[in-house]
Amino acid sequence: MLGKLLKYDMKSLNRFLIVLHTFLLLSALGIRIFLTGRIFADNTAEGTILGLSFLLYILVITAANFGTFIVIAVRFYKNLYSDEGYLTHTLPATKGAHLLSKTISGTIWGTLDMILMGLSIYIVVATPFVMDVYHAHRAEILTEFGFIGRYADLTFPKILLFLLIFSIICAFSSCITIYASVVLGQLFSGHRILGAVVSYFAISTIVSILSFISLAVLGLSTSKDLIYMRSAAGEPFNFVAYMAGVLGLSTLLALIVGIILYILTYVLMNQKIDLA
Amino acid sequence: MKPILECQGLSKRYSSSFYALNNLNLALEKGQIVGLLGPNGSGKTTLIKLINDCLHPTQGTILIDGMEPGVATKKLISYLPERTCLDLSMKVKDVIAYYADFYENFVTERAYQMLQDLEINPNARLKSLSKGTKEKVQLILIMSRDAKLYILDEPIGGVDPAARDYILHTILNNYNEEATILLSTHLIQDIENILDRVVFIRQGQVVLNQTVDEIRTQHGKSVDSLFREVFRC
Repeated sequence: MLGKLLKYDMKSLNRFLIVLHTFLLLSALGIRIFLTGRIFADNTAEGTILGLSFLLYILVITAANFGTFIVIAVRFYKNLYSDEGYLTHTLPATKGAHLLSKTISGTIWGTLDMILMGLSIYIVVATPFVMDVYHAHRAEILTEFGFIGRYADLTFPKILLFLLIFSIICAFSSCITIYASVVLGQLFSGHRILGAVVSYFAISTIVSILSFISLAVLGLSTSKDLIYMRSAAGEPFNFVAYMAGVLGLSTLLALIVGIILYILTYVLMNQKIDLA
Repeated sequence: MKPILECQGLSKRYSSSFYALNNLNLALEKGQIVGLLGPNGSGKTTLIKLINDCLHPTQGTILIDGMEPGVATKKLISYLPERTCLDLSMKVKDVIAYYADFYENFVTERAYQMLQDLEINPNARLKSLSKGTKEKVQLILIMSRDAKLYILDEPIGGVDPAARDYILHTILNNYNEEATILLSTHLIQDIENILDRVVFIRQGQVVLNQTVDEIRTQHGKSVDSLFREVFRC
């Protein structure tokens, strides 16, 4: 039954998200062909155009990311708690199967969104000019970023694998935060969508505070190290070490939060939620 | 014989003081067409939603063919809600495939035959259909299942009298003698002739549970007349 639910959940998400991400990649290609691919940033005017094109591009990828999670949220709400819920809840499947199917489909598209965002950033940024500069100064760039010492043998596939795991866990956590918010919103007697939005901001605020405290405890929250690229003690600031610490901790937190919210959502769906 | 539906001490409270169902007791045997009748707000739809696991009871138990509502009972019940529950972006043929995918007892050929009878295009998108036609499609989907218990909440409310006749004819022709139909409606005159039993419900409690023959012989009235008398405002 899970396979059948997943088939229809994926079909429903694909309908919108394939179009959205095709637009994202086409925008990236357009910016690459007409802007970044033609500019060498060797004078102020071209630098300004480059800056504006990046600004435009950031808007596009933000919209794609936001749109992805909106589509995932709408699918969950509409399929389970609008009029459609009267069919969904009377299919011969457990509520746990519904939640799992939507979590898997949402996580797949959340991860694909991050992969495609990465790909589009590569399309925009990796112009022949940038790649030439990179290859000409590869050793200095890698040293400056901190690919030295224990990080010297950090290969590209290893970084990609780490980023993939990070993306999957973050997508899972983001989806389940949305689902938990929708389900918490259903506990309100009226204005259930507003209730879901309030729940989402409440959960996000709590997670942000927890995240900040964890980063502070581990000494990863001081921004001046990043600004001056030097630590207070005058030791060289290692960007790779810093990012590995921040991303590692974020992954762990996202996983813990995701598991807690999944259990909460499952319990509420099974014991508390009534269709309107 | 084990009843197909049994409710014991069933209550559903929506707010601290409002009970939609209040200690309701009901048992229905297999193989009958039962009219669930009552004025607006009497608890008919709440009872139907509870049987279909769309609500959680505040108190009491529901047994469908001896089982509590869950995956097994959803295989036995074919439920027509009072509202359109289909994904309107789908085509009629896609919804048929959807039902065939999820319900083992769905008979695809029967669904296509009924579509043909009602001249509904399988390639049409649901959102392009009129309200009445959408209701017909929903009813076709429900009646194309070989279920043990059909629960129809206001199945003829939104369609014209001609289609109403076809729908009632469809209901009669497409359920087997072993199955039970629980039908909720305000249009008593239209369905009176097909009912075997009538359950009157008021303020969340059963006030009458008799066969149509018993009503005619004991009260000397039609179901419609008795309804008007019992629920006179």
